[in-house]
Amino acid sequence: MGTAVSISVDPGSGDAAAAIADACAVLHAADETFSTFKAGSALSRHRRGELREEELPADMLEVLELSARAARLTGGFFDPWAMPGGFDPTGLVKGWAAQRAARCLREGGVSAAMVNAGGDVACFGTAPWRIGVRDPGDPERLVCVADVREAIATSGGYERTCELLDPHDRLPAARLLQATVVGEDLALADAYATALVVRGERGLAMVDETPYEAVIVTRDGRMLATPGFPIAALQPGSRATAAG
Amino acid sequence: MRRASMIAGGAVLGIAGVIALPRPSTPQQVAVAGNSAAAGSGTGSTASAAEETTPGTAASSASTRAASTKPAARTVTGSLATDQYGQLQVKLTIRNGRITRVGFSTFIANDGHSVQIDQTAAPVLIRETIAAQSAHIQGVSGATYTSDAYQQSLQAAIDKAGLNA
Repeated sequence: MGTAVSISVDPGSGDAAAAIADACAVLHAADETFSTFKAGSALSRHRRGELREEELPADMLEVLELSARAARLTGGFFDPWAMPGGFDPTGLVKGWAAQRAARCLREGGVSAAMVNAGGDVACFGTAPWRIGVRDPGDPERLVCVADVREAIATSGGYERTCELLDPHDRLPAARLLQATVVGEDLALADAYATALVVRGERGLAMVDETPYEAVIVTRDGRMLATPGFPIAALQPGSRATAAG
Repeated sequence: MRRASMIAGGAVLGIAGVIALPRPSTPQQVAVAGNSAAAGSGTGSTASAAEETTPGTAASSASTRAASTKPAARTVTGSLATDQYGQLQVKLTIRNGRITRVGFSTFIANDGHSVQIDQTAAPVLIRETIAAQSAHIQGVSGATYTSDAYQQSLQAAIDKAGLNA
């Protein structure tokens, strides 16, 4: 299943319409290369073993390298090679493409922008963007609001599009209701968020050792965060309540 | 902080974008980029644009540039499905046995706004919009989810079209 992308910009002095068109072109190109639905996409051909190494497009090499890096950094709790249908970097690609679209907007002279790819957000600007973190129990509520300067990604145990497996034993594992990670790179933030959901509460210590920050909602409804998570506001009415 | 907002849709991994995120107190331009369905050809070519004048409402008017039409395109409409957010009905455009576009023939949000959209992303963005309005935020981070109503209507349209999905 695909994902919705919305782009919000503060045009500044740049030609926003042209920059947005370029950003959309970047997203469509990513779709062409990495679609798992299109039999002729480079990813589909790679999965069927039809492409030799030297035939892989540059973007594919970049995503393969990023996938390997994400797997290493998450201690294997995020592993695109351990997906049910074979190598599937879909989770990473969404963030990678959104970040690329954001870079495109910045290079187009836009002074502030936010690219939201199905809940994974890449942004820039002089002021942080106020991004709500969805309540896993209710899509219309938030558990908190974060001030985000670069990227924020959320993974949830409630996702139906791809079942989360523990790469170590390939058994379904959603040990958290939801994990949200803030940091510099959206693809890696998404990898950390997915790794947290699979690994559970103990994964917070892993993220705390990195420049990334996380807030999680446990299966019993507690909310926990790394000390540096940029919480702008708590939402006391949400079903998940902050743990003391 | 005052930010003019221009919002566009793009496609990642299959489907994509709509638009109409209200920014209270900020007039906004809304642009919709056409795009392809999961099984589509990736050549979405319709675009509509609307100028929003009333804060907090979805785009209220739109002009549409017609897509370049190739022969042999047909449209199929799915069942009218209702969920807690509103009513929707999926419309597929099919060319040479492939879905080239997924849109809506009906989309009415429960808050009374009739939303000018024709993209599959609407259920996601409608929810984003609802959440954003209540919390004075600029975006929502959450895991991707799709609406049961959307899937139901989409499946009905696919069945009617005699396609394998």
